[in-house]
Amino acid sequence: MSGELRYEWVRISTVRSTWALIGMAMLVPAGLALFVSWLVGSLGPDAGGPPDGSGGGGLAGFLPLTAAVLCAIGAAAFGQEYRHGLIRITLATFPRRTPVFIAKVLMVAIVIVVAAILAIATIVLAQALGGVIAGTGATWDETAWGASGVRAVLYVVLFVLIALAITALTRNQPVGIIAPIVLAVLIEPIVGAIAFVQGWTWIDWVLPFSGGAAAVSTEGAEAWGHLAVFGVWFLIIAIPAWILFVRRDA
Amino acid sequence: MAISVEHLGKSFGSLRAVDDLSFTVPDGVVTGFLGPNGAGKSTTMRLMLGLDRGEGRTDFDGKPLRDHAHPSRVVGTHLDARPFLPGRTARDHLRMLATEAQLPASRIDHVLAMVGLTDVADERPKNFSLGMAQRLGLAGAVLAEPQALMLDEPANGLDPQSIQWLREFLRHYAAEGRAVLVSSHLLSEMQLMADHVVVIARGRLVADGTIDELVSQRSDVIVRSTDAARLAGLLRAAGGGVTDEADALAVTGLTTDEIGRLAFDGGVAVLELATRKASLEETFMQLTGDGQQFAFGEAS
Repeated sequence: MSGELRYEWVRISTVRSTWALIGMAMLVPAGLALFVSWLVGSLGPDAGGPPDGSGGGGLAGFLPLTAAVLCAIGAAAFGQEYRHGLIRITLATFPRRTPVFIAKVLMVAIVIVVAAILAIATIVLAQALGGVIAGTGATWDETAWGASGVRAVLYVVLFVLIALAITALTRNQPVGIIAPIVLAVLIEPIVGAIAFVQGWTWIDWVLPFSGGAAAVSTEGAEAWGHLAVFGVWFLIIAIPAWILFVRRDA
Repeated sequence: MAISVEHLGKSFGSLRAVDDLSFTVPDGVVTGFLGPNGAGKSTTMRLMLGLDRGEGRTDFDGKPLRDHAHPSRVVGTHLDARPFLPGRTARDHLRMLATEAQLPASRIDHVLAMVGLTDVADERPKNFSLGMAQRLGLAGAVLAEPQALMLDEPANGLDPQSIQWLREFLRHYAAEGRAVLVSSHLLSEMQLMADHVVVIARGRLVADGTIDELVSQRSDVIVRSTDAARLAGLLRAAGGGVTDEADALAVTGLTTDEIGRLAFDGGVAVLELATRKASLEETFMQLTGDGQQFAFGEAS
């Protein structure tokens, strides 16, 4: 297994797009957080801003953007290999396929944990900086610390791993990148709206990406429950992807 | 490290791509793997490595590749013309492959120099020519100094000097006691490179032996005489196969000595008697004549 993990680390770390995506995942949401924090702080309480003049929407507003950018790294774990025929080299080098699958999941998860922590720290700093620029002083988003912060990191990791699993299942990198984003941004909000009209409150406990986002925006047991739903969805996609990876032609 | 292939089989829908294929790739020689387009060569190689799922078994030194502790030290492969990510440098591509056997950086430098890619080692190979891509593929295959090599059409895109280098390299590699399996459409090149050939058509084995054995089986004797009809009768009576060819007879199943003696005893004067050795290409065409999966129409 250590050989597969070393292979995966070199695979991920030797393509420029990995570092470019991590940089984008930090800077784009942070830039947006800076702008929102400054805008809300500048507007002040009279214009609808928070009473203390601070604000920025918290992590929940920006993390989906971070996750959406990073999911390209997850999709690349299998997508690049199938697209360029590298999977045959990988599986000739490591003929036991289950350790290869696990190594891909683990190494992507490790890289995304680090990237997510950096992105969250950057967003929190940007929000504080926005308040300083607006003249309301630095306010620190407390949801970034403790259990909330852990859930935020796990949300990003699971988002990216779902992209990985979809790519492994379909052997199609664009599908692996686009499907989670379309589900999170388009399909689930529509389904959620229909469910709201129909009064189907249970739907919040079924939809994966809405549940994932709720894990960041809510607290306590409810938040962990939403995160668990998100995790179960990852397994629902990853288990058939693993079975097919082991059984089908490379 | 001989490679033993037993009863390999694989179907794609109703198409039987590989059918009960068994052969051995011996140590110490280059084995050519020949067959027309669509004969199943690439599928067979993938089956041997466990990349495709199918029937049968392939053992490397007595056990499947997956049961070896360090597969990259067992067999090096080069199955695709451009087996790399266009955005990853040549050196990093080899660094990645070196992780399984935990090879030092100096080994990567060595194989890059060996295939002549040192100057472009830190460039991204998206603009590599086919020949340079083949060299990088070969560098990856030999990186861990495996006991066997499996190369699918490695000479495609190489210039004549590079082909000569490849031929000498593979013969030298095999001469060190390793098994080398090379598929190719370049029959004249294979005649120079390989000592042993495995020929398949429509997924089935049609020949397996040394090139000399295969070629001699399809060689014949040309005999020109003063009485072709009488000599043909004598030769047929002795068990030879006789075909009329312009002013001569083409004889199979009898040696020049036997034909000369039969003609002398029968009172027929022989004007010319010579062995006509078939080329590997002629032998290949005879062996695979109706086995081409995707045949051309008539050339106009």
